[in-house]
Formats: sequence, structure tokens, C-alpha cells
Amino acid sequence: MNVAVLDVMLCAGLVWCAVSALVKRDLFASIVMFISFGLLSALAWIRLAAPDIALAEAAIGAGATGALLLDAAGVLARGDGSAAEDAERRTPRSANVLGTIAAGALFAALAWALLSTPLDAPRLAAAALTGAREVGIANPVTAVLLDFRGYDTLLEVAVLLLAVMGVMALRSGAPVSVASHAADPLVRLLVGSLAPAVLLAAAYLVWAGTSSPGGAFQSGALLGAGVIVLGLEGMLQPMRVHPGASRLLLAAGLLAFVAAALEPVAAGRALLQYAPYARKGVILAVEGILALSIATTVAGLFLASSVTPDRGKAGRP
Amino acid sequence: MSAPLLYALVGAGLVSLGAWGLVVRTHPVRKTVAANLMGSGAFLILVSAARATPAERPDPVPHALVLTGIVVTMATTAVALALAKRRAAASEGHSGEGASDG
Repeated sequence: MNVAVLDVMLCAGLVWCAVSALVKRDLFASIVMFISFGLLSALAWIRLAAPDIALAEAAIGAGATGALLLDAAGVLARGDGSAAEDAERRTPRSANVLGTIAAGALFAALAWALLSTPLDAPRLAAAALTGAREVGIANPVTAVLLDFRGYDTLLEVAVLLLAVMGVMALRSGAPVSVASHAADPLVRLLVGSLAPAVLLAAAYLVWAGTSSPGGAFQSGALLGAGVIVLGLEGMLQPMRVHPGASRLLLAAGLLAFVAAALEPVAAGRALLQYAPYARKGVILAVEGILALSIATTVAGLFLASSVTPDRGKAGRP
Repeated sequence: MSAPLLYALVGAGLVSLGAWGLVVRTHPVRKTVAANLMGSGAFLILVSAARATPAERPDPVPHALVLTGIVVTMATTAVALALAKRRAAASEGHSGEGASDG
């Protein structure tokens, strides 16, 4: 795979967006640059033949993270924005110089490491690819995520649950930023008619995940982003209207995964060693529940910290 | 130079840029952006290595790792920002939460 003009342009764009995200004076502008960075990196993942990651990046890296950053920037600016911007200017010159030297040294070390070791060292690719064929899951990434390295994914789901619990615990009298603007009928119409399409696409991604790019994480991220948009318009407030059901959904992914992991133990096999005949079915079932749970988590991470239950729609005009 | 190597070097650049931003920039949101950029750099290096394998398809193991990483990064970002917001709220509402800002 040789370097094409597109690769050079993409790389230049990535670096430029990253630099602007860090140095732009206006915080809003720098977050927009970061979101652009996420979209460009989705293209880079495609160039590197990683469509699964591209899907996740577009929904999570650019979408959900961007929404979280914009929300936090808005909340922090409303408090005493000038103080924060002043603090930005007060970095001592020595810290600037030292930080720049250290980052330069880090780059030199990393570049040396990359140039001196072959990128194509032998790895697990062959084993994973033949293994995936045996399981009957044509998308090897899904097979690695939910079967061969299922333990990693199990812990990842636990991390997600912990994170959303942390965010919910930290929620306090923070200013309202959700549904605080007058609902625009056009936006409501657009969001309302997009919602079924998002739901359909999310369901498709779970189903397709076994054979082609997609899976629980991409699907959950997409669905979660859809719920965030609905929540921003005040059309769906899962955490407020159905707190019990939302919490159950948050935990459902981990519970289902743990159950699937323990079932083989009860049958005398190792943890996560699914019965050979049931492998694909178990993976699909776990993926379906995970997708719902991840969607609730993505939405919860955003909505839980943004919504103050009592104040509702009151807020800035 | 092969394309994966180019992307890997850009990844190294992003890790360093992110580290620079994490040290030098002070606004909590911008620090979070910097940490995210560091993560993206690491992902880029991993996926470039996956692309460079001689196998018929890219190595799926780093892909799975990066997918996990992207989701965990989003979760940690959310917690970091929630902490920043809580801290701002605590330093604003002097007596409200009884918390003080150090």
C-alpha cells in the first residue's frame, strides 16, 4: 500500500485540525476543530481498511464526544468564563518551554521506535482470521471482540457502567443545558422523522456486525447519539421520565454478558468458552442487549450530567 | 515510505501534540481535548500496524483493541468533563454544596 495524494492530504488535515484544536483562542472553535478531526480520522480509518473503527469513530469520537465537549464548554463558560480564559493565558513561560521540549522529545522517541521496528512484525492476524471462520462469524473484528478477547470486552462494558455511575453521582446543581432553548418546530420535525431511521440503522448494524462492519458498539453509539438529539429537543428524557427502566438498561449489558460468560462455567468449561454449537447465537444475543445498554450509556453519559431533574425547561432563553 | 508508516508517524505526532496540550494548556475542556488527541494518536499507530500485516486482511486484533479504546475514551471523557463541571459548580455556589475548590 503506497502513499497516495489522499493519504498525504488526510494526514496534513489531521495534524492541522489537532493543532488548531489545541491553540485556537476561542474554545468553541477549538471544539469544532476537534470534531472535524474526528471526521477526518474516520476517513483515515477507511484508508487503513478499518471500517468497523470508522463507524465507531464517526458516532462516538466525532459525535458523542463532541456533544460532551460542547456541553461542558457551555456550562463552564456560563459560570465565570472569563476566569477560565484568563487561566489559559497564565501558563508560565517556563512551563510552555519545558512542555514543548518534552513533547518534541516524545515525538522523536516515538518516531525512532516506529522507524526502527518493522510495522509488519508477525502477529495474531492469521490465528484470529482462521478462528473467526471456524466460529462462523465472517466479521473477524466481532469474533475477536466477543469471543477470543471476550474478557477485554466484558471489562470494557464494566468500565462503561462505572463511568455512567460516576457521571450520575457527580450530577449536582449544575446549570441546565438540555432543552433550555425554545424548541424550533422545524428542528423538532426533522429530529422526529430522523429518529425511526436511526433506530433502523442501529438495528441493522447489530445484525450486520456478525458478517460485515458493524456491531454492538457502533450500533449502540448511533442509537445513543439519536437519543441525545431527541433529549436535546426535550422529546425523550429517559433518565428523567423512566429512571428505573433506564438504570436497568444501563446494567443490562453487563448482566447479560456476565451471564453469558458464566454459563460455560456452570457447564464445566472455562469462563467465556461458549458451547461450540451456540457460539453465534450467544454472540448475537449478547450483542443485541449490549447495543441497547451501550445506547443508554452513551445517552446517559451526556444527559445525566446535563439535566437537572427539577428545573426542566427553565433556563436561558 | 508506505502509507501505514505515514499514518503511524502522524499518530506519533498526535500523541506528542496531545501531551503538549495536556501540559501547556490549562482550560479543563482543552486538556480533555488534548487527552483525546493522545488517544487518537495511539489508535492510529495500532491500526497502521494492523494494516501493515502481510495477511490477506488487516489484523483484526488491534482493530478490536482500538474499538474498545474509542468507547472507553468517550467514557473517561464524560467523567472528566462531569468532574470539571462539578468543580465549577462547587466553586461558584459558595455554600450551596458545601464543597470548596482547592
